[in-house]
Amino acid sequence: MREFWILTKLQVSSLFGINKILHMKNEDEKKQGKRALGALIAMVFALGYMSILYSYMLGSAFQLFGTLPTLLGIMALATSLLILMFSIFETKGVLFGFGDFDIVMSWPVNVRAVAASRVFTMYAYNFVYAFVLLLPAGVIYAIMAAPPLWYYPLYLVLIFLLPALPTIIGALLGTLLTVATSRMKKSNLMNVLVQMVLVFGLMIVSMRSGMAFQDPSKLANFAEVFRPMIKGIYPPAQWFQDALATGSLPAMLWLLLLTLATIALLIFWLGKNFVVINSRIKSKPRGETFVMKRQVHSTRTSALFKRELARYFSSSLYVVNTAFGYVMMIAAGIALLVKAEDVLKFLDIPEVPSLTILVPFVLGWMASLGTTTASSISMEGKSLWIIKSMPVSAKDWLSAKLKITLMLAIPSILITGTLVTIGLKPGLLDAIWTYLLPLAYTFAFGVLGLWVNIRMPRLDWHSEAEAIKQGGATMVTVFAGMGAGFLPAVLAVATGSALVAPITFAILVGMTIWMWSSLVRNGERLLLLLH
Amino acid sequence: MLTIEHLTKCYGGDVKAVDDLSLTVMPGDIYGFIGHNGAGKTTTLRAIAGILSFESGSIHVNGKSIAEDPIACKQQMAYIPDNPDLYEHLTGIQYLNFVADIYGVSAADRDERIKKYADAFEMTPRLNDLIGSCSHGMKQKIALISALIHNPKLLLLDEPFVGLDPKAAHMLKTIMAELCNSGSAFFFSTHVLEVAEKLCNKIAIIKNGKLIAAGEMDKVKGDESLETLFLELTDNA
Repeated sequence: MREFWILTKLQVSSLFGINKILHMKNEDEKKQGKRALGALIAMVFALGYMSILYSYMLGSAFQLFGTLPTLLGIMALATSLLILMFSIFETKGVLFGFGDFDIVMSWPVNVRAVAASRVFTMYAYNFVYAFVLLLPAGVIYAIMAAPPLWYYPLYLVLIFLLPALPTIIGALLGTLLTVATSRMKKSNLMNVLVQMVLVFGLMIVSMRSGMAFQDPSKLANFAEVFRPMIKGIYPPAQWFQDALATGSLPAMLWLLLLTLATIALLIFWLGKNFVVINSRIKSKPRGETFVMKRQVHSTRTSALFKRELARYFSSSLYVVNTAFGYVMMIAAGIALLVKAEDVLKFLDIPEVPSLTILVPFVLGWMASLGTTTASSISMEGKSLWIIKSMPVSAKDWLSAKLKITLMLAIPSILITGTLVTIGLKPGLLDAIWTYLLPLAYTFAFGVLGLWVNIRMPRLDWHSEAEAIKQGGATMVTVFAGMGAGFLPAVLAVATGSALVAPITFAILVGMTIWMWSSLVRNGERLLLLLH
Repeated sequence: MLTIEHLTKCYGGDVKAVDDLSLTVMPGDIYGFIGHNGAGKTTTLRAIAGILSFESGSIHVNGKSIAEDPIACKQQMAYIPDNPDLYEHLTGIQYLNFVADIYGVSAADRDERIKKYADAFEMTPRLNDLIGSCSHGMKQKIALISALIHNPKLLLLDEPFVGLDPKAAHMLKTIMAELCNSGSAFFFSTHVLEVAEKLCNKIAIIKNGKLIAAGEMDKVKGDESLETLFLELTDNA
């Protein structure tokens, strides 16, 4: 146990870069670290604010139908699914294949303690999300339901307990995925495909459950709709609800026992296989014997682009986290082509014209989700010295990074735009915006990602997840994208004004030009400040 | 070739990592740079390489300022840090081609140099391996080949012999001598004083960021061994 705490302390101290900020002597680096932490805190507040909003809306609706406890179940379900996905993605990098494996394993510590400390790190990171999402729901429920006193301490205990189970399940699934693909020739590609399928699977399950809302006969009894849905998808969320709403002892025990059993199972299994799996991942296959032949010459620009491309596709986590936005975009395009009426029904939109106004903004938001640039500078990691010592201008370096986003986004937008145009048959102007607005979002958020990441880099990472998922720049870009997609969409639908699209387009173009000029002007200085 | 005048680099406000350092490296020099851990060797090398900003002073490479015209300076230099973190997702040959492309090395020149140096360091058969699968020594060899591929005029090496096997270390010394004869210069840090004494024609000793001795090896050390001089100076200065 002592070993576990020592190792966990070491792990947690690097979480969110807090230790670095506390002990850093270089003022520039300290400022950078503080900025990144500040952004992270701001994003946590933004997430909390969204959770308050959703919890209040859902709580009011559930109260109306006399099923207020469902608020707890539905928020527990959403949080658990989110954590499950995060954990699957993070397993390779945090649990396996982490940078300091050799040094950690050389210490006289129990393998189980090492494995447990890594799983706990995943839990600690996930707990932040769970806390931010579940606390507002718990408070709003308490205000609306005025539960007995025991509710409050129990809620705090269950908030700590709930993220553990999806973290463990995610770690197990992630481990299986890592083991299954570690010896494959195209292991990264397989990882990307399986992770994409998993994410889509989870999305389809939630969407199909959401379709239940559309059945008017069931609206009269909300509980009938939700209870089997929550229980069917993830029973522990139902136990969470029952324990808090009715003080159900069996529900509490089920949740506690299942969590403890899975923790024990995972740690026991990892204790036996941790070193084997890590060794398997670390032992990269030897290439074929090289025979010198004529090498191909490329221009500097092309070499930088090829380098970015190789970096991008070398990380399945990077690909899944970014390309997902584009895959979602194309899937939405196909849905609108094949089943436009079902989409209208699902979104509760009465007619096609309202949807054609909305679509360009939704596609724009999806494009902003796919931007690769928000973590592309952080991904340089300890190899940044190479670019810094080379005769490469900051503009060329940044352009190559932006081109990766454009390479993924432009074909996706053209394909989706065409699918949507055929499916919805919008007027000429709406059709033009279906292409132009997502393109404007792509450029704006591609440049924004660079603009933020160069100011908030995370270069000292041991696992790619720290740069890709935990970086302040990624959070800023994702949340800014949500805001920039959501606000004009609401305005456009609410006002029906044809001016919202061109105004949004002009703002995005203006934003792109301003940020890019700023990057070109200050790029060399900012690059020099990166350590 | 390289002129450093009154270079000062501070960390965290008042802490001077390098304090008013001046020295000149001429074509053909093999200039050793020694000092205890944390003396300011790496900071100086990084500042010359254009990786680190500095508060005052100037660094010129063949008359061009690293602060004002970094790209022109970098085109003439090569830098290898003490721990060469290369792109682990690339193979050795992909990395070498990338470096050659950035420095604009022609196809014919790169073929010749890759063959020459990869053979010299016995790395040719392994150039198809991912860098991530290479040992520290092999990564160091790839870093060295990449530094030599564009025939730089000034090579900045931070602890270049660490991790190299004896044969590769000998080969590096031979290559250093060969390049210096053709007009290039080396400025490198090392803790191996015997190597510095045998290999270098000039030496600089740094302590707490200040240069405490610099110049021709024979003049700096006189009749003493470099080790004796180093211990005397760093203990007493």
